[in-house]
Amino acid sequence: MNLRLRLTLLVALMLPLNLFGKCPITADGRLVLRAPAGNLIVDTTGSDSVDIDVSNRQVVVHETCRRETVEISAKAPASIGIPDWKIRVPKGVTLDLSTQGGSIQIMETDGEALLRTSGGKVTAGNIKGNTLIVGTEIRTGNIGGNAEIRGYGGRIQLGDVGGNAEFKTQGGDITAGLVKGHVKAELGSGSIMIRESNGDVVVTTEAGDIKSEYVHGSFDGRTDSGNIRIERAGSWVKAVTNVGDIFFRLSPTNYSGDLHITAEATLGNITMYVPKAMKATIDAVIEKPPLNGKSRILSDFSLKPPVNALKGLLPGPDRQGATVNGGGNNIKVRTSSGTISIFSLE
Amino acid sequence: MSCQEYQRQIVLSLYEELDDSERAGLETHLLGCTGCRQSYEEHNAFCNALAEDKTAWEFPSDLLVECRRGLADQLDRIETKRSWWRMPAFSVVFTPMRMLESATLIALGLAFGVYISNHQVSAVGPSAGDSPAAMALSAVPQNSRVSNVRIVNTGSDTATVEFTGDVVQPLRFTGKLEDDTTRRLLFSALQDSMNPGSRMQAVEVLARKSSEPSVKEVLIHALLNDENLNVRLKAFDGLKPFADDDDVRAAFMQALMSDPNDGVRVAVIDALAPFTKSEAMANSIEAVTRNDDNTYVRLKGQGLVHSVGDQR
Repeated sequence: MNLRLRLTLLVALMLPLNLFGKCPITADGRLVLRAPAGNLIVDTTGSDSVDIDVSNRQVVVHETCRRETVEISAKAPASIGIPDWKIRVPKGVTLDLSTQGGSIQIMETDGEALLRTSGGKVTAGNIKGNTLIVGTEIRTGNIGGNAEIRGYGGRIQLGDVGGNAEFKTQGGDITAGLVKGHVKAELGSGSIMIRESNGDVVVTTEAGDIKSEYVHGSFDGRTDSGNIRIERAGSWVKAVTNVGDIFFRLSPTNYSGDLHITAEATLGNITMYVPKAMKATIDAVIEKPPLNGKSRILSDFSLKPPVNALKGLLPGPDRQGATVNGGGNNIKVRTSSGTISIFSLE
Repeated sequence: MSCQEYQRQIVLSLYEELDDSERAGLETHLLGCTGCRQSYEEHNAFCNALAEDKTAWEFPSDLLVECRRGLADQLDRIETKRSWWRMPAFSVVFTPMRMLESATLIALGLAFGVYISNHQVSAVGPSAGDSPAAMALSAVPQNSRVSNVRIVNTGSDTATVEFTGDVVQPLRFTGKLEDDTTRRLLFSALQDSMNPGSRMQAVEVLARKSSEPSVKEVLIHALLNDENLNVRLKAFDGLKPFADDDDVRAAFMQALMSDPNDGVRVAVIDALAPFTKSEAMANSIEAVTRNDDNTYVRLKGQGLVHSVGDQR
């Protein structure tokens, strides 16, 4: 063996990045990567191929290269820890990546993204297509299509979402920008803040606040312990909290639609603004009013107790109601202990 | 008349509340109706028993309340049944003098009502002449409510009742984070086992001062003991900048070993990694995570041993 070959071999053995794969792929192809463990770092500045470097030479990579789909799997001894996988692809490639352990980091992409890790952060730039992410802490830019996010526990932050957004987490706060479709979120615990949703919103959390600046569609939110605050709601509202306050403004664009309201807070205050012109039948109840007998139901509408109410003989709930503009949409407001404020919006 | 109506008359007759014609009608009915006669005898025996020796009897404390409620219901029922044209004021022939009398009575009633209500509003605090009951009620703040009310004692004269209960009053307080009262309220919120949302908020606020020993201690307690995942995650966020502190590191090790949530353990091992410089520390992390269900945690633990070894 000549000296040049010996030197080349020596250098190759000493290099930290020992594996190198390169598969040609179309601009809108698909990369399917199944890593045993590893931090996946995806660079989307590639031109016509999938290039892969793995930081540990003990990882044995198996590639199936086709122009439309490149499939990569690997085997590695557990003792090596979590190697880094550096992957370069064209921007339009669909990324279908999963790692059994490690973080996933991708740059901006025009394709779809399916990113799964059994433990580790997921960080992504803007994603144009539909997106599925499973991880602990998750942070992305804007998502052009639908977003399905599943968290094991950790904060989730998304930019705007072009389609529907669905969240399911064991715990951790969620924030998202404008969601053009519907929002469905189920949190084990944690707060959720959706800046704006063009569709309907259905949210449940065991503990934490639910907030939004504008829900164009209907809102159905429930928290066992936390506040609910919707600055503007365009359709019917159902807000339920065990301990916490409820606040919302109903400002529909279509008065002929369903605009019923149910707001319940076991321990907490309820404040709502409803349009003056809306047809409504209001029923507000404070189950345990204060001892001084002063009503804690405040309203611009002239609320009155029902005709058959007991008049001070026995302590009982403070119940008041009204029929507005001939009645119609039921507004049912109930708190065990707290205040109820129902104001009119011009 | 039906038997049901006669049985209602039986009670009234025993208290001599029937007029002569009603009494005569009832007596005639009792002669011919065995059921009503039996009912009369039962009621009569009950009244006689009550009249014998009242002092030896002990009444349940809520009996009076029940009786009053029943009475109120009955009065309401009578009130709704009574038609307006049968009310006394309208039951006689209308005359100008009768109208004048009625108007005067109504005006006097209104004036009296206004006087009474003004008098009650102005009576804010207890005065020396107030009864013990008024004194006790005045101890309950006006904007509060009372829960868990229990009657623990009723006097033998049935005129006094002793209550226990909890007074719940709205609280709004603004204070600096350094102030004792603020701290105490935050710590108290953290101990509210029924309200995880409030615990989450308290941890979030306290985390801003997590360098202080007392706050650090509370956050460590929350990280290791709170049953709510998000409270633990927020406590971790507060402690993360101090991962090189001995107490915090010990708490992180404990969380790594025992926290049931993958997200917490992943976050903890990531936080510990930069400060794992010694072989002993790496080995102890590896030992704790060796059997972890989560692959990332397990591999990260092994990786730390290797990276420390490589550095050496």
